[in-house]
Amino acid sequence: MKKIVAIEALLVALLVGVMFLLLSGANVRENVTAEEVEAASAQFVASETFSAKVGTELNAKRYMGLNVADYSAYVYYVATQGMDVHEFLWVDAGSEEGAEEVLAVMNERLTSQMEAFDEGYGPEQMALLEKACVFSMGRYAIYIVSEDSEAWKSAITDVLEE
Amino acid sequence: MVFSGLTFLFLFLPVTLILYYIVPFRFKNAVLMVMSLIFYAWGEPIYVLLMIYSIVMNYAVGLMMDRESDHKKSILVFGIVLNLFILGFFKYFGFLVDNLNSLFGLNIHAKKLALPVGISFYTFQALSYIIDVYRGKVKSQKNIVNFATYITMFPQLIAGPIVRYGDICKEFDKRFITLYSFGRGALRFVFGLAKKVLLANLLGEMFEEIAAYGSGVSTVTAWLGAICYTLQIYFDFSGYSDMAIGLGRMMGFTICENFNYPYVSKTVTEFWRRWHMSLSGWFKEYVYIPLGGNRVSALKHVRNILIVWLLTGLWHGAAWNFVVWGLYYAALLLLEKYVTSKFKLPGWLTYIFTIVLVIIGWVIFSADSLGAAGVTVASMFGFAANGFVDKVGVYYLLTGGILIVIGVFFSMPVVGTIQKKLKKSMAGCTFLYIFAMALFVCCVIYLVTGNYNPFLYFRF
Repeated sequence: MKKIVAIEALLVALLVGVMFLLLSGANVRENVTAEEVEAASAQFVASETFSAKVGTELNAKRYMGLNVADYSAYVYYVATQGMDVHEFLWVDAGSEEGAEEVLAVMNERLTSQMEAFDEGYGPEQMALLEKACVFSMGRYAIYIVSEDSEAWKSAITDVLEE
Repeated sequence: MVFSGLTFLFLFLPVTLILYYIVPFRFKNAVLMVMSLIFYAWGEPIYVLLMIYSIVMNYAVGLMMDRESDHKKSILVFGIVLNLFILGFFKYFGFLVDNLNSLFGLNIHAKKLALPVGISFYTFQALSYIIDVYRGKVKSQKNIVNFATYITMFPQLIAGPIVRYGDICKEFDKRFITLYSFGRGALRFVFGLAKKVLLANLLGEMFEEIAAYGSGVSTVTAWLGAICYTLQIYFDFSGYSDMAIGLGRMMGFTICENFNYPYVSKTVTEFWRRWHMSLSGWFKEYVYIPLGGNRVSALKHVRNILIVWLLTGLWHGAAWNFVVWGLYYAALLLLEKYVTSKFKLPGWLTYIFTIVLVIIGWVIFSADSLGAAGVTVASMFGFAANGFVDKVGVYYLLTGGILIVIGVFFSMPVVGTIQKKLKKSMAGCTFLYIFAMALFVCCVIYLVTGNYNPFLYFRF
């Protein structure tokens, strides 16, 4: 009986360990500032392959369909030309639920961009859009369309994680 | 990774099959286990840890029950509690906290956890193993590689069928891997892929477009949307099961059937004997019969049905619409057992009643909220915001009507009968293989160009 109790205790301890690993990983910071995101994005924005400018609230409203003024912080870069799809948006939505809502808007933006350039109309744009990273982490939602989407995502993730 | 993805079809599957076939038999299970873990880790790199824990824990529980027969019961209880705790924590914790918060005005903050893909399926498989070992129906598995292969086997890992250990255990030590079974398995896999890609995805796109209109639809449009989802979920899930069964066969395993043309059922009871058979079989074996089944007083039978269907609803997801969906079926089954079975109605009439009730069930199942489900059901029965028929309904009837007719045809047993007849002759077999190749090419073309490729049952 002692042997059984010992094995059961070991299994419970193992479960506690596994759950600790799963739950402790990747906690999201609560107080990330736009400046930190801009700093992490600087090398990607400066890249020759990324042709975008700093986006205004009006740009965000027009292209993304999002009133960024409603949120406590945001960083937005929008393509300089109409036929370009380079774009970056980071929004602090204040809560996980808010971030999910913003994420839904971002996904709609990606879908509509893909539909606009589908069927051979813009193969280069489609290739870029297929590399897009659209995701949320805690209270933040992020939209990245760039040649370096994955690396940019990784840089932003590093800033957002504790 | 999904079966209907290009990475799976052109990278993972060929590599796995080559490795599986070139190694001697004694290493085949190990190859399958390693490749299955890679398959799972591809999309769930973190949660693979949880799966490995589940393997180790259930393996240890099985061995302990075998060796310590005097304490079998307490060991079984320990195993069940741990399995249910893991499932409950990752699947229902957020739901529980949300409901506590809204019920008592609390503000408990629960970290949003991503649902580990396939957790409901592999936990139920593990439970069937430890319960069957306890009952003495099967011997515990001494070889951890074989046991891990049972839990992780990628063909049925993330969306079933729920394979009971007793049904497959002998095949870990001895199975027949022949060119014939490989061919038949490949055929089944391609037919499943075609169901998913060419029917479920297209029906799903139509359903999503109709659903986007929300409550502002006509009666005809509401029915069209509901019928699309009814067909989509069948082709999606049964297609996945066909692929799983086919892949299993290609590797010498016999994975149980999961569907038997459910939409021809003339009663709701019959429907559940034909739909997701591995899940209903699991609940019958491990919950319903232990509670007494139907060999008890009427009151206890009602209790048993309610418990089983509440659990069936909850198994599908942590949301109130799944709970209501489960209880809806409990009510229908009880009505059938105690009321309608006393009347003799013509077959065609009971068929229409059943299919309408099933379609209503899918409306509850697919809705974002109970309110939305109520609005759709009301629209279907004449309380639509846009009258009986509107332009949207006419448009989808004209553009999607053929797809629905094709869907209805392929959900009928006549397809199986034709296949069986063709398989009896050499010419028929040749035709089937050529047809399968053509279907495969069509699927690849769709997958290369299409965006819409979700698997409905992945979230369970």
